[in-house]
Amino acid sequence: MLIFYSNLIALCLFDIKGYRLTHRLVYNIYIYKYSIFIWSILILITKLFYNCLIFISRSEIFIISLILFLITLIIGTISQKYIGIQSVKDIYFNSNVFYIYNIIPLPGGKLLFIIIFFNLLFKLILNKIKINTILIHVSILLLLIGSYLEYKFSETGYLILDKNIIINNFVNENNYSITINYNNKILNTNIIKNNVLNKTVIAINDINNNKITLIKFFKNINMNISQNNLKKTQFNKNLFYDIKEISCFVEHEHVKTGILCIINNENFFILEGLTYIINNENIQYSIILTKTKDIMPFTIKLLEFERDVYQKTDTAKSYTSTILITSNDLKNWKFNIKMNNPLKYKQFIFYQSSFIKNDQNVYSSILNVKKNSFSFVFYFASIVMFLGFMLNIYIFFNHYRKKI
Amino acid sequence: MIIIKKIIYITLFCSTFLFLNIFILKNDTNNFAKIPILNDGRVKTLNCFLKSHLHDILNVKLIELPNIFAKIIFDFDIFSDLTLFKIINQNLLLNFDIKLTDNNLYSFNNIMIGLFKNIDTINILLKMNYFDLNDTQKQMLNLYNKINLILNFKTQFHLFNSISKTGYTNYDKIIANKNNANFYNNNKDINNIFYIVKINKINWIDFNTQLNLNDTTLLENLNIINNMAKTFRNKDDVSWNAACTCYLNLIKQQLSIHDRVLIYFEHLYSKINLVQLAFYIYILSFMIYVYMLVCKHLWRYFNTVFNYSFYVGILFSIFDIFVRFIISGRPPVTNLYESIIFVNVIYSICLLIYIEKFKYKFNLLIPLFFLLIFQCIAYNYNYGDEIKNLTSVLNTSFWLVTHVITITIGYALCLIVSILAHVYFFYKFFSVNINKNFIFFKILNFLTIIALVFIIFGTILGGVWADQSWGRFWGWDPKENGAMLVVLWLILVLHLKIVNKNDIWFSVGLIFTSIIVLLSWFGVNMLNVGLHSYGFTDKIGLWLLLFAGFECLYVFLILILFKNKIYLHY
Repeated sequence: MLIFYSNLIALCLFDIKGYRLTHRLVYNIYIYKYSIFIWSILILITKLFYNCLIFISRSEIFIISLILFLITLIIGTISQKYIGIQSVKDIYFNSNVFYIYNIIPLPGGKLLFIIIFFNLLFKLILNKIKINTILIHVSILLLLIGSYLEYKFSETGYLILDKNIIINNFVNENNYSITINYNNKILNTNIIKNNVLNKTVIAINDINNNKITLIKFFKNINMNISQNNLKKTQFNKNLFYDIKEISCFVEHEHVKTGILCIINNENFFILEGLTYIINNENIQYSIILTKTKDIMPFTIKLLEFERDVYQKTDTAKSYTSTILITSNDLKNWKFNIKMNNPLKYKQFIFYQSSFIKNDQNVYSSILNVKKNSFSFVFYFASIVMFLGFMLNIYIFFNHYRKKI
Repeated sequence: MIIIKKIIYITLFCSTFLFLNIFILKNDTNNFAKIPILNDGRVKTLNCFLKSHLHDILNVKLIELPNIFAKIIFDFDIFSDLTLFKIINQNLLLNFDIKLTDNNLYSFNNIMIGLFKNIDTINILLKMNYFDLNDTQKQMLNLYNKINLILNFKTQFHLFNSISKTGYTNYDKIIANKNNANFYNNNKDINNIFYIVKINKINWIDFNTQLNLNDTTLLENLNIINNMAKTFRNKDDVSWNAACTCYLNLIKQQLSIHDRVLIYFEHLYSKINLVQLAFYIYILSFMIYVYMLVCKHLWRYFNTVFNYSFYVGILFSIFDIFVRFIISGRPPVTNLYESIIFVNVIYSICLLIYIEKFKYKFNLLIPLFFLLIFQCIAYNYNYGDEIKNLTSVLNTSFWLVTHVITITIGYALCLIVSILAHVYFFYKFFSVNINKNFIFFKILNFLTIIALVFIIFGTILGGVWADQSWGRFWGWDPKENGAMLVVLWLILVLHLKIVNKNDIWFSVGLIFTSIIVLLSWFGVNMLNVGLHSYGFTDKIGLWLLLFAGFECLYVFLILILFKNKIYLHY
């Protein structure tokens, strides 16, 4: 079929050329030969392209990808014991290639998912397969699409709600901003999106056209006082450190996140949450690196936080936050958020996550926040998969019932 | 009709057995073991509490535990000289400066001396990560924790300890000085593991907080416990039993009918040990089946006995799950032990359907052997078993029913598919009946798809639960990865069958499914990371390795021995 189409395209091309030539009453044999040549090349390319598609859609490719993914999955799972889930995600599952002992390259989860996606897609397009298999394959494609959308467009973060305090933003877990304070003027720049540096220079026009050059973002670091003056990185006044990137255990309390940058031709390491005072030609300004606070189009106020525990223990049965949402279209509406019972409002979903108890025994509620959820793609894929499997079992059962 | 008849007979048999047990328990005079206590937020009998907290610490039979516990709380001097602690590690004994004994049993006093000598080492070990320690260090730390627990029990009952062998207790002293203060306030920093005093329908109280000595109900409670302590120390069995019965009745009055019914069930459950019974019955079934294979002329008689014994075994397993369901009031699959017994039940039910459907057309030796192994694992895990309250995130019956049960059924089906693949692999080379093999192949194929459906939907439902609770569908948690491993493995095996029409490699793939399932089910617990924090362990690695070795050997031997036959069939 594809060969036929390629012939047709080539013929059209030839005809157009011929049409133009006859109208000009010039017939050139060389052009004719040239057209034949283009035609052949086109057929060749089309055939090659078609063969490539056939090759990608082969079951062997799928099986090899699956075996490689199994290996990646096993290595990634075992590595979690040593480097934590967050690092494993970055190194093995969200990457295209990873190295065992820094020597043997293996495909990462992202690359394998792409291969499996196109393998299934081309198999669906090019091969004749039964409806039950189509449904199952489509559902897996949908799951992969859902994962991509979720990875690319969803924002996750958290919200710490103190009782009766109104709040209209949430802390984005994967985005960071640099805030520069000069003469009470605040310049806030989002520099890291999804843990990746997306800006290299911050120009500060107010301060004699100064600039901050951002070099590298570190999710977690190990800091040792520098012995070698050449490799110094200024962290604080007169203190120089060697910076070494280490694995990031999310569950570990002492995660030191920071960014290496150049200010006034000097290396600076800015740690998250600390304020740095920079002096330049008698001008003083402060810099702070924080997680980005995303603004929500409504406000939230914690009215009550309840923690129900089992008798004479600290084990919680459930947590409940009663919140008040105020927005332009919804005036003062009360909601209850519990474990396993989230609140969906506009493009945000709020989940009861944890709590903090302060010195005065007053509880603050911690809610996880998700913006732009694509969970519906997973749910839809699950339904399609369920239908596919049920059809599969029905066909199988009907076909072999008599024989068994 | 035959099946209904069978079920009626077997239910009658099991009911008679249970009623017999209830009758025996009714005449059980050890009322001390029946006293209700509050532990971990749940009311249970002292016997259940001791089974889960003390049985793995002391080398004592289950029936003697209440008596030993009474010695700990009321007569510690006697207890401290009893040789009840088992230490096998010679390096540990060397560190403790304890002389080796023949039975490897040592007393509390022996160990305390050893621990005092090593207190600096223990303080360092406590600061280290437990999973980075070597075997001796781990055992030293475990022993330290056990001794701490015993001391905690003792100090929790400090009111009733004897004052320098006078026969009087601390409680007697306080009551004698009652006029000086109406409140007794003890400042000892004690971790109350359980509560035994209940003065009204709501409150359980301990002996370490402020006690209102004007409260007559409280005084009544404390007087009886004091009496229990004295009679126990005096070895006056009649008075001891009378005091225990009196206290039992007093506490029962404060409990709701719901709690009383539940603790009765739990006491019954801890006494009968249905898993153990099912294990013995399965051994019997297995032996009968072996006889059936050897003495074929007696097949007809053995067949009936085998059939009924197998039914009884399954029914006991189902009873076990059902009783747990009633006691806990939630779906009975929330920890590793419960998942093991649930998988066993599903596995045995599948085997039963298989037997009923095919009427011994295929050999059952391998499936029955594996059933024994699984039941043996459940029997071993039974010792540390405790029905616990759920944490807030797990406290949802809907998701426990949907996700956990679906995935556990998936594990059970994967195991049965794998074990039937062993049989098929065996048949492939021993049986020449091609039609029979074809039917078996189709059964395997069908079951593989069913297993895949359960495991895939169990995993997806887990994703939906995570999405509802934390806002993420997939988090690359080790347990999630384990489930994905099983899913991908089954998909791989099914696709291998499509690409390579040879069913040998399909069956080899299915045989290895059991290794993958065990890795996913138990293996990931060895990593000790992730959200699915139940059943963390570091002792299972060797067994998993042995099992994987056994499976490889099985496949390798059959392939080597019958390599000519592989080509003969195709």
